[in-house]
Amino acid sequence: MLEHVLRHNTWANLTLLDFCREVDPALLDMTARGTYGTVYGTLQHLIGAQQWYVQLITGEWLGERIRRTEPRTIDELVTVARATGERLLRIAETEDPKRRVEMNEGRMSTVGVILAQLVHHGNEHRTQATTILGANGVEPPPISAWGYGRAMKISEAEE
Amino acid sequence: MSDLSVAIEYDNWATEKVAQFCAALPAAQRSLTTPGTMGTVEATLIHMVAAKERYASALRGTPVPDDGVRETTTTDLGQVVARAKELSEWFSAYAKGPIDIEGTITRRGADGATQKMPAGILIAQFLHHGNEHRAQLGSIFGAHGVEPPHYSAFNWGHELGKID
Repeated sequence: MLEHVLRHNTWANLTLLDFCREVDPALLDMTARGTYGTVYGTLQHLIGAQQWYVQLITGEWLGERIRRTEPRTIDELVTVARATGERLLRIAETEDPKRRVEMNEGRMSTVGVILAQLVHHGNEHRTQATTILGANGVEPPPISAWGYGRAMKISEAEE
Repeated sequence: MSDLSVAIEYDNWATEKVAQFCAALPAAQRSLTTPGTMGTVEATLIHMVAAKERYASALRGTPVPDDGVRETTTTDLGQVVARAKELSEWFSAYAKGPIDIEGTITRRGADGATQKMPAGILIAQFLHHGNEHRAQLGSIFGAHGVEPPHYSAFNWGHELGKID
């Protein structure tokens, strides 16, 4: 049921990463008040968290584990975003949202809540990245689900 | 409960939580904003709930009701909080039913033109939009030293006992 939501999540991650690969690298070190950190730090956190959420459900790290203290290139983040995005579609097809899995420190969560958190977290940090871009005078790429629908040529909806 | 209904129930909880928080702020804090966001706290909240009205309206195939929240006319945040709760109830019932995510939905765009899309795209936009504007509110609060409510899906799961 989450297929379009998860496809939008992957498309938006890749659209934002592609955009950030092409901008002046100095822009990736910029931040804005009230956000998570720099654009780059936000992107690494966003994809690293997605990698962790998928690992919670599958028990498998897709790609080399992204750690906060070890900067990755945009290309490396793209690779993990693609791999986890594809796996998420299989998770949505096959997983029972009520299944409980172990998180950190022995805490348990249902798969459904982890997927809801993944969708929330992705949208939240992409918004923070676009807030930073906007605050620094850069028009961010359109990454809404309307944008996804138009890009896939399956929707006529406009912003 | 499907994975989609979990995500919808989370949006309901988060929207209501943030609406109640914003409505209870003093007027000066409701007027705060920060660069890169949509506007003030109050305008963002009204827009977020007004958009949810429109998503529900499109899924129902009926116009936004006369007492619905609109950016152009709504000023009473008490009404926004009450309407957010009513929209939660509608979306909860919707989430329980069979949902054809590939079924065609028709909505009227800002320019008045008719737009067609799969229901799954409208739902993805609905979930994106709520998260987007809650994140903007979080940025505004953070920029001005206002402690925001904890509204992540993990917070929700913990509150519901779905996370130990």
